Amino acid sequence: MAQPPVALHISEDTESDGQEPSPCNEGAMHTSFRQLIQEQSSLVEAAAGAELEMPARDRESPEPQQGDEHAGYSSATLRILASMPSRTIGRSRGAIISQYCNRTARLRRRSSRPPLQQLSRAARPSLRQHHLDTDPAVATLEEKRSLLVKELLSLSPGQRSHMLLSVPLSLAEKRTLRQELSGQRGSPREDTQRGAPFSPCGRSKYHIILGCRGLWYGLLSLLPAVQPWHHALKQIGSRFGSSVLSYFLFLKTLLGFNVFLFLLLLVFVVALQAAYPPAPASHQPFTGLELLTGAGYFTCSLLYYGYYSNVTLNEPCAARPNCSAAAPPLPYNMPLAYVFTVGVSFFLTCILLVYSMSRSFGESYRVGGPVGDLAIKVFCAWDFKVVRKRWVKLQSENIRTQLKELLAERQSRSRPRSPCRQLEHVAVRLLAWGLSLGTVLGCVVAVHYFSEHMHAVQQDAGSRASGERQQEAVLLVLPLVVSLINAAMPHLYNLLATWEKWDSPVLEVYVAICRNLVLKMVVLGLLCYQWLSRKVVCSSEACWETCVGQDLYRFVVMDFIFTLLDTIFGELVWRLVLEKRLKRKQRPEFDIARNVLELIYGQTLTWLGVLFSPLLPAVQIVKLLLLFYIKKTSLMQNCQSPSKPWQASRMSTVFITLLCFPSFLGAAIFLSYTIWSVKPSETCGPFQGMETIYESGKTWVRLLEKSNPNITWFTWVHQYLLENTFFLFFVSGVLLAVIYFNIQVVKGQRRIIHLLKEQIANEGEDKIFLIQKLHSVYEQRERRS
Amino acid sequence: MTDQKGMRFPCPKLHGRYHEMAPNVVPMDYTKDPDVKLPMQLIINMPELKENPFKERIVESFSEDGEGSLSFNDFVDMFSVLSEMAPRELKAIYAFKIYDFNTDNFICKSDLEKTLNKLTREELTAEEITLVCEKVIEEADMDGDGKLGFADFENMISKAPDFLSCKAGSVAVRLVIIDNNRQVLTSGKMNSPRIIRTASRWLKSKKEF
Repeated sequence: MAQPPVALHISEDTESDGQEPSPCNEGAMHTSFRQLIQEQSSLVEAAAGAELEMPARDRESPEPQQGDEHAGYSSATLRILASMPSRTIGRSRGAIISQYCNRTARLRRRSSRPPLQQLSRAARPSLRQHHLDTDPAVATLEEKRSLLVKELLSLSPGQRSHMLLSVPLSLAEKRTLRQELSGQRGSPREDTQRGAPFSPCGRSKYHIILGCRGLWYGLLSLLPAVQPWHHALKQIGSRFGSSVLSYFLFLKTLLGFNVFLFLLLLVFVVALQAAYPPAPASHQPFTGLELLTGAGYFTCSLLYYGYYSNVTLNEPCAARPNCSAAAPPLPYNMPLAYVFTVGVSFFLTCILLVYSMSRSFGESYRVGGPVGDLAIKVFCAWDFKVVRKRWVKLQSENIRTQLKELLAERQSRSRPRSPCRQLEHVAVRLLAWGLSLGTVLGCVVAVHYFSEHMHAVQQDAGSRASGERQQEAVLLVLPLVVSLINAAMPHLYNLLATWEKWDSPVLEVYVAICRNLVLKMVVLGLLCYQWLSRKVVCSSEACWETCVGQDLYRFVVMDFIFTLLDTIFGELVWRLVLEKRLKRKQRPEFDIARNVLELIYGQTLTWLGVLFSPLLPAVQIVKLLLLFYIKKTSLMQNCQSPSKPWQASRMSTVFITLLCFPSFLGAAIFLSYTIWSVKPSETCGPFQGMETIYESGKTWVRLLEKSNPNITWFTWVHQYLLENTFFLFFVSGVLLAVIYFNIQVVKGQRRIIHLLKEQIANEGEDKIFLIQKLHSVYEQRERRS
Repeated sequence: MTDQKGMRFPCPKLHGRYHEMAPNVVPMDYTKDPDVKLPMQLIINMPELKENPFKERIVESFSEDGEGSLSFNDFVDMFSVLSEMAPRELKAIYAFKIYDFNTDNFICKSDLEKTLNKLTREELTAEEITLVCEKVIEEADMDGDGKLGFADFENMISKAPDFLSCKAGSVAVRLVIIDNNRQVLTSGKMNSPRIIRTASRWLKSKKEF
């Protein structure tokens, strides 16, 4: 153990007579010992045989303290207290260097290279190694520095640069350290020069490496210019804070997913089919209505499933007898490519989603549980990104409101409610939930009957042979109704939430999100059922996949139009009304939850429609790009930041989780069911005549087996691992066991944290006791002398 | 390749910002390592810091002499720590220094009261402030001494994952300070509306520093 820092020459009779100062007085010492240290440090140089060491205080501000709270403690006690490691760490240069020296020593002693995440958590000053501070052999700053340099040299370059980055010293100190490091590294090896080596080969290699590094740093500085919307996002963050910024970052993430999906489909499916077009069907003339309905001119285009051929693309002239063989034959199995590309892109999207979800969950989850929200609110609520005066004022008002709400919540929690009020509370909650679920059910039933009605109208119109345009306009009505429901109901749920009077504003937001989500997912579920069963929608079409693709296209376009209308009326018109008619200074708030759920809904539609319309991701990309600029403009002109407490990082976790679980999972289930169980149409598309879409894969595997008997292992893998369910059960069982194990580990960690907290509290009490004893001892000495 | 100090700034934008605050005092040529410090009043008038309630504390925490005057090195340090790329541990250390108003290495009740007053522009009642301070110390103080040490602060910050995102200033300094061995000492990135003006000023002066 460390040698005791203080050589106290005290007699054995240390009975504590005289008054014992209470722990409350300890607060007074902080105001006086710093002046004391300044005096003492000048005295120490003069005085001989000082029994204590005091580290130089480099970064202190000599401002006058509240002078009237002078301690009842003696100067000797205060001197000892001043040199405690917990007072000096982070303040004096020598102490920082010692601390980091110990840290690098600990790093070096570990056998394997520790992950960098661990370095950032160990900030508590280690009292066990503090002998470095008071060890007379390592007294001066230069010696400490050289020790640190020696320890740093023993680390790998990556760890060394990370250490240097995180040391809280000034730039000048870091430069000195770095110079000493390079000096030390150079001297033991005289033959390797720090400058250019002598041989021409080595010299050119050296210059190449230097040039590459310079290029890399230059590229790094260009990175902000290359990132899309970098400046716009900074502008939004500085005016509205991180919570509104999280919506736009989520939009950017979705754009990334769509670009990835689109590129895969473009390269493997769309481009090749465009190079080898099938037999040209009768093209209808282009009218403007196609952009809305997706039918007409677009029916026989690359946009839909029906365009893609089911033959291998190696006979470009098979369908057209009069063509000249301009394009060379390409043995490309289009059905296989289609199903594989869609499958692989979904699989990769799944991996990306799960990875980003687990990463953001890992950042926001703490084993100890959600304690200390008030402290976190005080220290972390201020958003340093916000810069303009008006928004800064708004931010401080928001924080004030949130603090008051938190206090009120604490007080109401501490005061138990009367049973009458509790009953009332429960009844209101039940009523509200019943109402919201009832409206969801009502909407679903309404959509169902409405679609049947529209189908009947369409049949009627078809039999009456009314105009093509009229028939196609009729198709737009169902998406219109669904979008109307999706736009209107969230406002109702917001009103319901305010009527219920939730205690915690965060819970209010979560409940509103939940209800909104339930509505959207149930309506989408009904529509999926209708598309797959084809009893109502697309029942009379020969090429039903194209019909479903068109329906989804219409839904995507209608969703965009309604978002636009919602922005115009909800934000622009409402702001004008507030300003001109009601003469209020307030602007409408930007409702983050509702906007994010609209984005998730749009993305779900895209994922549902990828199989039937390979270019739908491109439509979604255009939609997201337009949406970004429209929302940003409307935000800047019309809105103010939300007053509800949004923890930006926790909300991004929630958004990504919602994107993964109901949205992507539902689309994946829909896709799997379509591929595995639904019979494709006979006359169009790449899977004509097969029993299921999956059969194309099976046919290919059989073909492979026949053509090359050496790869029977592949068919074996396919037969026994993919088709046989036992393997899947086994893997799921193993996964469940791993999850259970991890839950137990987390429980154990929680217990350990609790024990450690108790230990810290005990140590604190020990410290207070020792300080008091020290004080009483010194007082006795003074009294005797 | 290497100059007197063995240092090279690939991006002179930060020096341009420092220079334009007091063009008569700050030299464009730093090869002779001049001892120039700008007083606090000039620095807290920068647009990025002007409306920040903690601007004086921020500048004081980085000033070498503790009075709030920043030399160019301190200026670079400040923006490097405030930028988005500074490591979390560094930000926690300096955040603790900023909130520690009486610089005694502890956040005691008076520090908390001052913090709250600055956050809410003194619009909370005295009773509410006392209540909040008591609750904060109750939640975060682990060793029972009635004030928050750095370990308590760091432990509490670790539960707030948006500490990093909120603490990043809108002046994120894009500079990579490298020495003659091409190793990185501090890093950050900058994005300021006055980049073009300062860059052209630097081009005009064209001095190596």
